[in-house]
Amino acid sequence: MELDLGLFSRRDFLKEVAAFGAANLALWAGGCESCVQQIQNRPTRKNIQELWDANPSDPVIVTYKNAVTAMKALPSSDPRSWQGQMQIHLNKCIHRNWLWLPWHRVYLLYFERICRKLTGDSNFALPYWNWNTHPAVPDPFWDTSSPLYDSNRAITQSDQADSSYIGTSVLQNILNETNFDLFASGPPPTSNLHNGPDATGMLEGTPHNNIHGFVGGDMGTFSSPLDPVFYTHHCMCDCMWAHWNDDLNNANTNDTAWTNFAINDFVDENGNPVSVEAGITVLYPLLTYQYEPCSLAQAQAGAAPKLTGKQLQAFLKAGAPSKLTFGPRFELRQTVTTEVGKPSTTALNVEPGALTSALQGDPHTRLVLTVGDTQMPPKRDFFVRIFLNKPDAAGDTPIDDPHFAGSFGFFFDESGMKGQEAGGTMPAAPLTGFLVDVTSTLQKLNQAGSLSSNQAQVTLVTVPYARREAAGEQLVLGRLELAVARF
Amino acid sequence: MTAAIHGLLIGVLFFGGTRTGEQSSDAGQEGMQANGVKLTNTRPEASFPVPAATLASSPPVLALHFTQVTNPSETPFQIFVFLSYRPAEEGVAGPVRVLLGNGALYPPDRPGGLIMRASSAFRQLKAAKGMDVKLVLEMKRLHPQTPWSPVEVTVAPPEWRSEHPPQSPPDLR
Repeated sequence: MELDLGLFSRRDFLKEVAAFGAANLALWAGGCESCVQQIQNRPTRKNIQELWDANPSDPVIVTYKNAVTAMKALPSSDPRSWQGQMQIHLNKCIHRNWLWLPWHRVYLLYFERICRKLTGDSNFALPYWNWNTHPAVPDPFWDTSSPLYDSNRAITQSDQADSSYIGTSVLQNILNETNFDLFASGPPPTSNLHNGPDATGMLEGTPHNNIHGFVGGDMGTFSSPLDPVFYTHHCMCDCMWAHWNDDLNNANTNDTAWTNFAINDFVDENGNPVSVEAGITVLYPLLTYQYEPCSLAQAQAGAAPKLTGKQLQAFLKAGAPSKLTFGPRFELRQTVTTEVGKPSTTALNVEPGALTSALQGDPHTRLVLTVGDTQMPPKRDFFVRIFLNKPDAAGDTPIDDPHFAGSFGFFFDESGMKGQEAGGTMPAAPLTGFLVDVTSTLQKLNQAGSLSSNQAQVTLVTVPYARREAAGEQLVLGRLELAVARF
Repeated sequence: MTAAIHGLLIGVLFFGGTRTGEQSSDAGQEGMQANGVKLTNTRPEASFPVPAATLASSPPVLALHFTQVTNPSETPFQIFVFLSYRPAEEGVAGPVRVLLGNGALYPPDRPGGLIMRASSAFRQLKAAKGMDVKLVLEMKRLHPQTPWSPVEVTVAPPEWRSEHPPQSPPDLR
């Protein structure tokens, strides 16, 4: 038997509910031993990538696949069907105001129940995609023979969401926000819930919206539930909300326009309509399901765990929680072409004095050279060395030369590029860019008196890898920029 | 082993550079309009002046409304919001940018908006005795490898807000 919150009146225990602690829960349920047991044994929503890494045939993944298959087999007129569930979202979803969180929480709860009913797995709990610790769409969604696959996605298995919206520092900043409107979105300013002016908060506007856009295809539209990754994405948003309430003790609004709002858009596992008031959804993670902690990367205390290759890749992409503020920038906006065996030198004009504090060793200032808008070379048999104020640098100039600033290479899997279907044409080479910290080189040159106060010369030397024939290969870049970065 | 480390280093450069490659200089007053500004794929930056009265009151919350969005190809993008100022400190030519927040629209072809906290940016601004303060908006596509398609976003003048103090959890014991 499953605890059905619909059996309880909101007024029995929920008046202006905000956060609800476990101790209170025990007090409330003290007179009902079976209820306590049900609550304690409520299903746990887990990290789908970790389940896969441990066992690709984990029962949660198998049940999810079976549930999707069963829902796709139902007639589209059945609101429990795959199409029916999508239609609910397409026609009735609430976004851009503070009802989006409870509305989607109810959506997930009844979707989960439908999955259980159709598969017979009464212990099933929806898994979540922790985009912070695994910025790529999880592996179970990429088997083309699996019902969890969606061929419409705009990305590949190796593409990773950017740390600007799922990085630890960004998410931690959102979790640190104590104001419900800013965290969760604000009140709908008009009677039109679906089309009024906007009040999108940080959780919705930053990781939620960006992940929809990042995955693209169905996920980029209101038909997003056609992609099975949708439910795991929203499960992560829901986990963050639960964490914000129950672990960080932040309060939701007590505005009755929120707590009393009736959500009537869903059906239960038997296809019967349900009605849930938004305020009661606060109790779902405490009474009907629970989350394996959706921890953020590097947020754990104690020794850092040994990382697997994929985790390390995710770690590098996510970056460390740091904040760089870019100050003066000196930019060359013209195409520069260099060729293996033919170095090119470009002069960047610099405002006199702008580099002074970095050159004098300010520990919070770095000088950063950005090689931007660089066309990925069709063949990548070479790498690039950067020398400053050494226009005669060549392939045999040693890297212990004081003018050497750094190097970069190219890492790119063109087979992973979208648009390479059979018979299709090769897509245009993507643009990329590189960042080189040139502080110490410029400091050395400054100390040696060989640095002009208003100009820096940048020489790019393309060097073939050992045993590669790279003669004639070109590198074309659209932008060079020297910037002062403060942190 | 050496090859693996080399690969990782290349990866670091690649990933880091991909992000920083999007950095660009201030657009100054470009894109400024009486009633709002437009961000487009060809001019993805715009700015609003920050009035002296706003600076004096340092409102803790900023709301931005994207009132019109033209994005027929549904190119996903996000908008970064900075407070830009020129520090009074000698030797720092500025401008300095402080990130207030960033967010996207979902779906990317519909109007929307963002609310975000501005308190710490104003604190930083005051500490630096910043001058020439502007609110700078920068639109960046989510998939840097994919070329821009035509996108136009109209941004209403910023709405600086005070806030009610956050509610405390009720004592249910």
